[in-house]
Amino acid sequence: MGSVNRLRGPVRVAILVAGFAVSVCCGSLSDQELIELSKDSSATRAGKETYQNVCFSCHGQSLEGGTGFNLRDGEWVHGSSPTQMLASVAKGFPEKGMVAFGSVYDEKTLENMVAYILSQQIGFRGLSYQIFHSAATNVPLERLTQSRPTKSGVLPNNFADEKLTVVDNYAMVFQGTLIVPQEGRHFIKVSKGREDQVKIEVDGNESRPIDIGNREFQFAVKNGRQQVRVSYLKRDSNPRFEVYLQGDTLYEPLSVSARNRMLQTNYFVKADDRPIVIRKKIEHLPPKSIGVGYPGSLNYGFSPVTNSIVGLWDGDFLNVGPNIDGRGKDPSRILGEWLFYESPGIQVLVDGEPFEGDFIKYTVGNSPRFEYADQKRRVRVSASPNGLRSIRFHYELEGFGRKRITLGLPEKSLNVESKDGAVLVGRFIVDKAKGNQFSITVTK
Amino acid sequence: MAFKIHIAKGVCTGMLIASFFLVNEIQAQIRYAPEGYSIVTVKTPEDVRFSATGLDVDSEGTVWVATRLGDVWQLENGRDWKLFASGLHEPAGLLCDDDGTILVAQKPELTRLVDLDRDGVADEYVQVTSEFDFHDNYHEYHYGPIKDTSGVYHGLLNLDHQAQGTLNLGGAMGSVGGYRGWAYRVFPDGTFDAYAVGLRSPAGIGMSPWGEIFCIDNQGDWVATSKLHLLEPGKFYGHPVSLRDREGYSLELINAGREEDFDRFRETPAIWIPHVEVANSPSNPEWDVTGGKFGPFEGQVFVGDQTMSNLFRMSLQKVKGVYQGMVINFMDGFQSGNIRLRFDQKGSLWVGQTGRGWKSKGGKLYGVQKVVWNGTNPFEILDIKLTDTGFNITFTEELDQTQIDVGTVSVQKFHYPYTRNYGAPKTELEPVEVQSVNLLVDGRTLAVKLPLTAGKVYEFDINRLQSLSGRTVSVSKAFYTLNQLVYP
Repeated sequence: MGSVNRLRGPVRVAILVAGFAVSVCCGSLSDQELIELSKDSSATRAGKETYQNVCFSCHGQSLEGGTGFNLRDGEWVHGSSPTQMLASVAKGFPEKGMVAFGSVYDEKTLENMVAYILSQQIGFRGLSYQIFHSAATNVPLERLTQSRPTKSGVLPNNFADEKLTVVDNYAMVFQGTLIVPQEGRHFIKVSKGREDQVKIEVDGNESRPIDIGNREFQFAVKNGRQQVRVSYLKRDSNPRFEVYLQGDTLYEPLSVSARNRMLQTNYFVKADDRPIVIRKKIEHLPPKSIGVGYPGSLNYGFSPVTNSIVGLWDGDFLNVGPNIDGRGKDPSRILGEWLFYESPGIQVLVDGEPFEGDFIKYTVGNSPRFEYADQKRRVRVSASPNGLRSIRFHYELEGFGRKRITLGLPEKSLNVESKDGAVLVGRFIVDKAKGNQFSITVTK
Repeated sequence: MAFKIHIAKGVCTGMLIASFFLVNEIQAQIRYAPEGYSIVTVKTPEDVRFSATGLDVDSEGTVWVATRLGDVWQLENGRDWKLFASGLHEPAGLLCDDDGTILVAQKPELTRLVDLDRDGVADEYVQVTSEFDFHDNYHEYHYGPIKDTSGVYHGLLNLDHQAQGTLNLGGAMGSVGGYRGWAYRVFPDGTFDAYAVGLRSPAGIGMSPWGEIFCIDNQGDWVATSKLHLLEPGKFYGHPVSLRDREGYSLELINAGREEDFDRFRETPAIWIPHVEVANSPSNPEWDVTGGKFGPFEGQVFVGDQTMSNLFRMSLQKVKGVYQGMVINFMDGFQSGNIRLRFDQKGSLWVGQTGRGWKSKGGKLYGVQKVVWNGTNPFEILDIKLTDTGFNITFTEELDQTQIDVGTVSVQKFHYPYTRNYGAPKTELEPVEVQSVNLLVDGRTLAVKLPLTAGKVYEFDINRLQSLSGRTVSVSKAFYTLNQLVYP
């Protein structure tokens, strides 16, 4: 599997289960049967559960890699076919600290786990390249790429690599199957040199570029599998060709330079033993938001503008690298999955209207707390972890008298529970008997 | 030649090349430095990204640093860095307040850090003000704060670079609104007041010993070259996009504005800082009020440059109520980009550094250094002051009068145009005929008689001049921004 170690920090060594006999052997299901299984939601759900119990600590909550390899991309050192994956999981790599899981789990469990991994695949597969050299500096991209390629071949690691040639004037074409998640909108994002040219075709149709500034462009792609052709003309004296797959909860390299850049820029902030409070540009959260990470629990974002919880996610908190590398243009990325991101999100309402107090401060320590107030009234919000999948938000109110207090909830459906009131669609109505202190629990 | 190669060593040959190369490379970085001054590198915590973009010294002499990573550190016993706070959003300024709390200008707000239990770690992060907009654009830096003599905090808000929905008039820097490009102040009762407009990338703010607030803006669109301004309420400092937040302006009006329209009411700087010759990305103005502990430059303004990895100094002169004055290089060869300066009580000049995102000549990504003086009086141009017939150029030591004649000083004059272009060259550069050069009775001041024109920058080159002890200056070129004549 994969070849990239992307996580800094203490090396986590899996416990070796020496002496177990490998009871699962490859060949139980065929490649095609495993692919079919990856489309079965009950199988992938079960596989995900197993993965998140035993695999995530090395391979990451989102299979993004850690001390173990990335399990989503197209680079598979030990074989990329489904049956090869199953064999790798079953036999393990004890010399590298990976247990032979065939001695721990039954066949069905491992097949489900592989099905889950297959369902999470993204990026290029079967990627090939063509290089077109040119003696002239002004040959258009279209014409150059219609000429006879100077060189061509396959890219076994499935990352587009523009450094395969060292001449000054050239174009390259990369072509392969692109796997995109089934849910949400996704783009290919390209960062290029000012004069460089890029054209992208999806299933034979040109995808029109959207200029997002800083010489970065988005090209819309479909969900699922599609044939993608990326044409690149090096024209700038300071060329650049970074290609990413970008979505609401996804940011993955598709080119070698993009992967190298991400390797350089990763800077993981994890709440290993105590809560962490951090202000950075965070993907999907509004400007000025403050992130709070808890050891072994959900993480959240608080906006001091709307005085509300504007995001909630699981996993190992944040990769702030993109926001502290170079000029810091890019947002920090969460190391898990969103439960929601939405503004105003979870917000105190007074008689149905947002309480428009001024943000005052936050305190750090074992229980970070946010405080906002107007001249007469004050609200304090804190949270406490409640296991891996659950977090409890505590509200303390002062000066609100007999006003009707509710919490506005995100439009996205959340699993909210409380003994202190009634949970309705989009609202939590505080039980008046609870006075000025109440809690809600949000569970994934 | 403006700068003399002061310390650069020669070339080595044969087997010794490899071993000497590093020494040569490092030493060659220093092109000029006054005698008696040296750079001391301060060790920073291992494996910590220590871009020191906020730096102050408290009343007990403890150095405090805010880093771009978002940490605040204090240097205990002058030796051990201790983490005081973390998780801030790219601070670009820090102030040790009188009550022992620490103020930090981070991108989204001005924040007070409070150590409630006095264990050396901040417990509360209190919002002092956030009444300006921040759009998550990387270039929306927040500089300051400075606390004036009335207890009012002052800060500066950078424009953005290509933020979504920005107004940039086709230039590099823009504003989505919310007082980007403004100077603001926060009164003791918490009232926020955005009071001056038209700043571009004002990477440094400082207060003079007499209590006025100055800032330095960086060269770029609408800024011909970097410059020092006196900050005053209601004034417009030249970059038009921030006018979108000023009453009476609309986007249509600003978009339709011509250069000459904005020129009519813009402030001209106290001092123009020639691009590349002196600075590229200058930082905060820091007055030498060390009482002579830093040498003969008491009362002058020291500034660092992030790109050039150098320091330069300025001397202000107020003529008929208008500030103007001299700018001259002081010292280069620093390890990284000099972004924050602060004198400590011993007279050492601390230099906070960053080279991340914007490369510096020094090459290192971050660090802290300080400049110390060993008591040797250097031989340098001390000051240039306008007179009614020309300029008095004062040196730090008496001059060898046998070498002084009308050719001792070469002078040119030029001005900087007001244009939307990204920087502008010296315009109408022409030589100025020096009519006479006389040594005054103090033995160290040259009275230079020449024709004077307001609105020009005068460029001085000192030729073949030695001190009585036979020394030559390390920096022979200086500039004087002439806004206002003494007479009439």
